[in-house]
Amino acid sequence: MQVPFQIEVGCNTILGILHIPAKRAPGSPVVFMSYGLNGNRVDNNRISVAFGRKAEESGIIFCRFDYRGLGVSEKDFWEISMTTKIEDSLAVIEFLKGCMQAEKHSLFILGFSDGLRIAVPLLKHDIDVSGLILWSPIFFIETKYVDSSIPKKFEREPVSKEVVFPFKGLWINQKHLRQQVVLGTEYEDFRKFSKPKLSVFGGNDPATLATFKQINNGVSDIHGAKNIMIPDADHLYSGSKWTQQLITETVNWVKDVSEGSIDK
Amino acid sequence: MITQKWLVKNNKYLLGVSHYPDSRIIKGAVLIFPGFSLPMCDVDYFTTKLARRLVKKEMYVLQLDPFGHGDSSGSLSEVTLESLRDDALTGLEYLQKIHKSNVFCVGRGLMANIFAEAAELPFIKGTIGINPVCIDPDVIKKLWEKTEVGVYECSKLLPGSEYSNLTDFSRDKLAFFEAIGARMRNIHGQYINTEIFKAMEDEGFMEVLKRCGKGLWFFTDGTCAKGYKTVTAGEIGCRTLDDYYKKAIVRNPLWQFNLIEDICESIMKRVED
Repeated sequence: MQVPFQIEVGCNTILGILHIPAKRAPGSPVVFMSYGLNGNRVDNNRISVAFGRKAEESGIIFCRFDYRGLGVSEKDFWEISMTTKIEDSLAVIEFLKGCMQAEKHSLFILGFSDGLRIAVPLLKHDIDVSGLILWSPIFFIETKYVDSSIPKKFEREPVSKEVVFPFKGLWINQKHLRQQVVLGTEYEDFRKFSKPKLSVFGGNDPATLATFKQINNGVSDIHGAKNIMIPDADHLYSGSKWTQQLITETVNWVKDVSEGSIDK
Repeated sequence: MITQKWLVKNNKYLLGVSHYPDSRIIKGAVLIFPGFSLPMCDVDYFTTKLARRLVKKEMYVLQLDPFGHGDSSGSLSEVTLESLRDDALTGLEYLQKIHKSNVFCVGRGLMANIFAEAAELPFIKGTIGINPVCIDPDVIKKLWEKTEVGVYECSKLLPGSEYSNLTDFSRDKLAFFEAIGARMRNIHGQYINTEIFKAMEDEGFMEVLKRCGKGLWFFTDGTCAKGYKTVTAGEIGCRTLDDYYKKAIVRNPLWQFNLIEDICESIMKRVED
């Protein structure tokens, strides 16, 4: 079942989709998705839709939504920042918890690409996360792979006259840009998170190579971490074979980790 | 005010986002389709930005995911020109209930061609296309002559992996995909039925653009001050594949802002006529 939902954050409407399985045991998992910088709730190659359909078949609830300023939700991209994305995520998680009420469930956060910049900070909040999934995480990046479209020259947004920077077909504000280019304590927070963690990498993804090496070398020191490399896959798993493997591995891991809860 | 809705017809479930003017005054209704294979928000949320500007002008707007696209049911491999025509009709019939006399449609790439056909419906007041497919059918035929009609993963039809600069893709085939409104990063892992390409080889397919008196077409053109030009039915002529290469939508916020402004202006002018 694919149920559209909408909630209000700061007087603006956020639009999302809930995938709800036809059959589900009490305590079954709920996966919450956070995507990258200028993505949307469908994402490239409809990967989020495909994951949602598989989650439904596997007894997992899956939640995907557009942050304010992205996709179909209200506000413009130049008005938002990482801070508002975290606010939006917390509001959607609160909505999910409200829907579940007293029903036991295990919450998993899924960060795709630089969606980890939202997913990992969420762990510091009081939301009782049972596990973290990272697809193509970028904790470290070599300069040569830094996106060449990072803007350098400011412009004025034509209506508000706010100072903004052109970024692809969008404008981005100064605060958001600064938050985006400076890596914070995400890796340390990831290491410290004591619950199970799954990281999936593409075998042909130079952008995550430095992160893969770092995580893989230290995997024994990172509590509850599992790494999967999908041979030949690119950063966005732009091949149906890679997408299928990514989704199957993730769903199986979520089921394994939350098995105890499902049996209750 | 925005809300989500399902439009259900013939076992197809289409997800839409409707924008309702705060004033509750509705001067007209607009259906927006994204480029082929993209979700309803389109590249750089272009169609969402357009919807917001139109609703401020007291237009009711419906952004719709066609079948096999975005949050709607189905997969891209099941999409045909016929299914797109059906989806356009589903959206337009819904809008006809919102406003009787001022119903418009805006589409990008192949979706603009679909709307040019839909403009023949008497209740459609106008249709606007952003870089509709306007390529000599023989060029399309030659491009895909070695490909048997069938369902293919796009990465097999058009191999390549340099998504940032697109250097290892066949330039002509890439331009064709851009012309229909697709984006390599988004379509490469999806399956597509090349029956669509075959149907576009039909002479009549492009001819519709030429006889669509209700149509206004925006084409990217670097020689114009704003970076695009408007063309009416009588002025339209075939374009080369190169005219679409990296130009089907210009990833510059000011270009998009100005284009949206001009689309809104042309719609509002017709509303007031």
